[in-house]
Amino acid sequence: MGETFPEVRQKRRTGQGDRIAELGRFFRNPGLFTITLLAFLLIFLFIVYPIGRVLLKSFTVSYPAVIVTFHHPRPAPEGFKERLAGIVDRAAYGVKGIEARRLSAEERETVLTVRFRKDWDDLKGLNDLRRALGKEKDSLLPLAVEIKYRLGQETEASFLTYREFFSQSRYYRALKNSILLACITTLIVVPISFCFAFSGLKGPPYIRGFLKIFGLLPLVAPPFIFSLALIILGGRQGIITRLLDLPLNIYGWQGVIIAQTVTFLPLGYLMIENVLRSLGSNLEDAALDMRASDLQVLLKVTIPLSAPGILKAALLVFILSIADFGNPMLIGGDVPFLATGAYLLWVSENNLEMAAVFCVFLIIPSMIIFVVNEFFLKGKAYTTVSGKPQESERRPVAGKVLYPMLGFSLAVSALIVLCFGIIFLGAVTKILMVDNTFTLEHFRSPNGFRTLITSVKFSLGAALIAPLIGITVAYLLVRKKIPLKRVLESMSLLGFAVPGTVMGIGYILAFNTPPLLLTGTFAILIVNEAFRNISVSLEAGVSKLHQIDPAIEEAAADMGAGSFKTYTRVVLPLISSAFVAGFIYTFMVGMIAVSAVIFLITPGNDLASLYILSVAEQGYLGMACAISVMLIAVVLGSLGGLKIMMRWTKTEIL
Amino acid sequence: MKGYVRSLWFLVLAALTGFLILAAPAEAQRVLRVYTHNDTAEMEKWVPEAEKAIGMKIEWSPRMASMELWTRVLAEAPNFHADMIWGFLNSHAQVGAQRGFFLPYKSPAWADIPAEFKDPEHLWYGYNYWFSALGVNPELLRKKKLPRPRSWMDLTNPVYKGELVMPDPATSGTAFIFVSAIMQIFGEEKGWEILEQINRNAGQYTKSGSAPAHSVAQGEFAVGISWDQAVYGRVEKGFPIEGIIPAEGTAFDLEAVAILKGAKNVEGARRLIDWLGSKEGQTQIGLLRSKVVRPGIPAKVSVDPKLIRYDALWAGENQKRIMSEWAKRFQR
Amino acid sequence: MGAKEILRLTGLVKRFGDLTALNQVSLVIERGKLVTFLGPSGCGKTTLLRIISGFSFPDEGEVVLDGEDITQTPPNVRDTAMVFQNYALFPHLTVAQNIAFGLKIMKKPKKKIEDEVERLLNLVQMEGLGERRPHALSGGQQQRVALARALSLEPKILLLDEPLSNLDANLRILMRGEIRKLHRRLGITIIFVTHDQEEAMSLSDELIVMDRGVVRQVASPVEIYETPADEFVARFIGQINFLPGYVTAVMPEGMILTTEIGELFLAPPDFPAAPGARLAAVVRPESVGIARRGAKPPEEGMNVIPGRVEAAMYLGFLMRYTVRCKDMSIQVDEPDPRYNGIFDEGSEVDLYLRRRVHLLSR
Repeated sequence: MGETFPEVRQKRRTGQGDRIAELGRFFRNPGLFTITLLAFLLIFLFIVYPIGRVLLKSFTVSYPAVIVTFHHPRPAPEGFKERLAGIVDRAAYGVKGIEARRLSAEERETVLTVRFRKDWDDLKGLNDLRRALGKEKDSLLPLAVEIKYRLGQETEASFLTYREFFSQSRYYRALKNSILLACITTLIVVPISFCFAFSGLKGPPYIRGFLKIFGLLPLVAPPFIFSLALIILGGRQGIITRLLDLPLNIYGWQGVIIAQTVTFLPLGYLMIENVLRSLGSNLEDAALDMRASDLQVLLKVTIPLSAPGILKAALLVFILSIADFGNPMLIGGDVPFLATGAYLLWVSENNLEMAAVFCVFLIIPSMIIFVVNEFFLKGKAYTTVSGKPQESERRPVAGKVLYPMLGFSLAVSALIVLCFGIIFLGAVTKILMVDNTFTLEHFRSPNGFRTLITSVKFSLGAALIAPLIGITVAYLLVRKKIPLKRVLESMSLLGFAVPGTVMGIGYILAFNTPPLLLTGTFAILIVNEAFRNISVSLEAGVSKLHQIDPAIEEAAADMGAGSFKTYTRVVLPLISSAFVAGFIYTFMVGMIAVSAVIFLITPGNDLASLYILSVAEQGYLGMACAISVMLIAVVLGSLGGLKIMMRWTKTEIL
Repeated sequence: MKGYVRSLWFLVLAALTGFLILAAPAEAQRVLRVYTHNDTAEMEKWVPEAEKAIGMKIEWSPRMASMELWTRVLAEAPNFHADMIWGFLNSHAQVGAQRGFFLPYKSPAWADIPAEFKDPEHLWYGYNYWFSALGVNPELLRKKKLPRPRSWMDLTNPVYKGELVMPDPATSGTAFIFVSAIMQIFGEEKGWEILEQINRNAGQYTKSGSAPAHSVAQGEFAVGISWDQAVYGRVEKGFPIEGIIPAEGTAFDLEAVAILKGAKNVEGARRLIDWLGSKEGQTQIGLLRSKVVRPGIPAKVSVDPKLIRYDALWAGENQKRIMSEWAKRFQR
Repeated sequence: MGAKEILRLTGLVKRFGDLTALNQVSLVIERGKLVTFLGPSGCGKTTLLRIISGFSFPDEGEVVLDGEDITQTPPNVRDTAMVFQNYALFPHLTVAQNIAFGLKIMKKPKKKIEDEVERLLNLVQMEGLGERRPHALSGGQQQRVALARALSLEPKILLLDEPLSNLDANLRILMRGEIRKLHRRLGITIIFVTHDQEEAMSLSDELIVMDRGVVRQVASPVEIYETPADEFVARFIGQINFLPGYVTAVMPEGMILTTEIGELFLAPPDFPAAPGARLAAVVRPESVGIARRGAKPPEEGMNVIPGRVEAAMYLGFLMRYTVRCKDMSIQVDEPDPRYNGIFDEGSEVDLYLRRRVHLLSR
């Protein structure tokens, strides 16, 4: 079973005739047909459609409009339209903010549509217009009309929003900043991750466990708690600022960069360690044997060989940095970024068109990188193909290579520990370093508890749905002959590739009007989170299924198990480890979710991670720390419980 | 194969736990869902009292800044996700009433509260009022040798460069009231000039209106633009902060409450409005706010501000225009 | 130290936790010899090689290379070069760059590197393939590149770690010949590690048979095969009939060894063996003759042991019989079944055993 069957689906070439026959079989199999159709529909509805709505929205512009209806008797009085037009002309002259108006006559009524400037308040327009027409009462009376006023909106397709984006610095600077930030963060995270991975693998054995704990610790915390800790440490009145009497200001670039570095370290570390480990020590030994010093081995062999893997990690960190919401929100100060900018455009101006344009610029880099990764980097990794992994002893690397890296890693570890420590101390003291009295008052937050419970429900819901769908799709992709495989796969992966802000705004656009009125429900939160994360379960499912010899299934089918029975009795247990992996991942991500859900929460559906963000913004840092501590405890507790459950049921994770 | 069958138990167990947790507290009680721009700390105190009074559970949140709240309401119309708004700007209440967002309710509990605090058509009620105020950190002023500001105009003094913290009008109602008050006191043209200079001094914009008072109290900034209880509440707790009412006068705003059309729990919303107008409710509000609307209920009046005649309707009708002008001029 | 000696290992001990991988290994390797470490997996031969190459350091003992103590010297300053089991070619470099890797590290002039790479490519018959990437080469070609790369360092000792184990059978035999040729041509000292006894026999000047961290025998292939030092060596190399017994009588012209298949009259061993001594006769299957029961022995004075054919296996180039003699089965390889005829299972036969056999004391 250790054998893998890579690229099975690509390699199986079928002729035209075969394909038609296959399709025939597909349509004649009602179970398969229904499941496939359902998968297509759900994934289209909850991933592709919202993104499509965002794209559409970015190409429209809407103006506030006031619609005035003049009801008149039949037949209309002589010269009615001309006289009315004259009155309207006179009245509109005194009303500010009018951009265009249109008078259209129908049988029983005449409709005046007045379009106001984009930034005009429609209600003011309506009131002004009503007052102006009120002054014309004497002229209107002979026409015997009844007047009705209504607020409206004129929407048209246009590139205007894009033009506005590029003409105003407050908009295009967000794009520039986001890309710059992503570059800087990536350039910092990748070397640090490399140092962590390298010194973990080459340093003394106990160091590795140590570094692993610290490298992965940030995973269990909401992504913005480092911002929180940094504010407590280095804000204008932070601990460091006061102790050293420095005019520090952590808000802005420096804060976001440090916070993002720590936040994305686990991912970089996991990926790069994986690369280095799969590289094995064989080639490094060979280089060493070729008289190369440890430094030369590192520069000429280890780094060039792990380059594709490192590049992959770098691209992922880049995407995550661009999509990051919590850190720029909390510690970004006045610097505009795309992901948070889109949110602020929505909440403060209700400017969904510009928010949609922001989203488009969030999607583009992610899509480019996604495509590069999928089509150019996939499978382009140097792995040593040796029958058995060489169980050789750890050869010590020269100190002058190892120690700088190790020292650097330990310094970063210290920062991580410091941040966690600050959060913990901040939670149990009145005001850390100002009034260090021990207190539990920050934990007494009824709403904090409530949101925590909501968060758990939310994450559990998403964690049950995501693997179910992801693995079903994986099964369809790997094992079944269904049409449009590539399309289904790409559609499913899209949810992960597209930043959460886009999915949040997309859901508002797509599900805020009947018949798809879903916003405001708890379900929409879960659905959003689940569909954004199916790709992880899908990948896990695909890799697991590739490990399972199709012969096992065939054997089961031979013994008389039907297709459904094959799935539940044979395939399902085999891929339960993929399910567990998807479950854990989705649960953890759900507990600390911020970016998409912030658009969708309503009273009663508030999540703990967002509540922390909100209280932190209001300056209640102690309470933010306390809820963070509880959240981390819940995540760790759940993972521990899961582990016990898995030991009991003897399930492995991947 | 046996191991696999056993691991199937894991799936069953996981699913079971999930369903239990998701399905367990199928709300026996009716729930009142409210939007609010009130401070988290205030809500954490008021909500339990209100819940006792109306006999229902109250789900509030997410806590939003005033502008954020109003945009959400606008975006959701006409399918609101909450039963009512408990705590929002007077100007928004007036706009909302005109747009027909609210359900009228003539509350008997409000009968003896002056008419100026109530909508004539009973669409909304103002249950207390609050006003813009400055907070200064005297220690920091002394340390940095800065003069004590006495008026709005003083804030334009370049000595305060980088020492001023104010809320962002894009999100904060406090900031919006401040900006529209400046417009109303000085006229639009002069107003923009003054704001231009204040903007140059601003070291930081915060999302919420209370945060500047918090920053000043923490010693992060010398001067902050905030609202009354955000400042005086901290004075009382002994933080190094002092309140200042600018000499030109300050704008006040009614804290409004209204029932949203299509509310699922109208009964609860009505009870909450009754409670807010009642002696008990007003007493509770008075514990945390400077001025309440029911005569004879003590509140935390620590100053008697010089109030300008603030035109909330004008503010409501010109919000979008002022805000986009602000964003164009000052957004960094 | 003699001029012939290139490598001296003294009292090497290596432990991994509770496991002793090497136990007091001492060896001397002569200049210009092709020496093979042979043994089953886990015998310590790879550990020994890694200690010689510097990838591992012994807990006790010392390694002296050409008169210089290199016990604690790291691999990049040792005059050894290794060809790894999976070749360990750098996948991101071309063949030429792979070969030039060490030369560049040693900062040789550019022209010299080019010439050297050219020469080495010729040496391993890889002319014109210098620009290929390793993954575009066959296993045999990769093997050659790995050899050329190791040779580029002009090492005092070339270490080959099971270099042929990843090749298919025919190629393995071909490469065996090439390595042998290369050794003859360059006169370089080579240490070759393998678990394949045929490979070891055909290549080496000297075999070092190891088992569980201990050197069992150091000798030429012929000596190892004909006169194994102990039961382990005897059994590990080729097929063997191991006949334990004790001496019952000693005469001037020979002695009698009583074994499970009966009394054998044998020439005395080159060590003293008094009556009662416990010895074992070690007899290769091809040294046992077989004939129909009662036939005349082909030579005078041979031991004749009656038996019954238990199994007969036709292998083409020989006939392999398992013959039951009293309580023991004896394996017999009959090299010329066409001439001598084939005995079916169940046939009653006589086995012939010469007087001169290899004897081990037990």
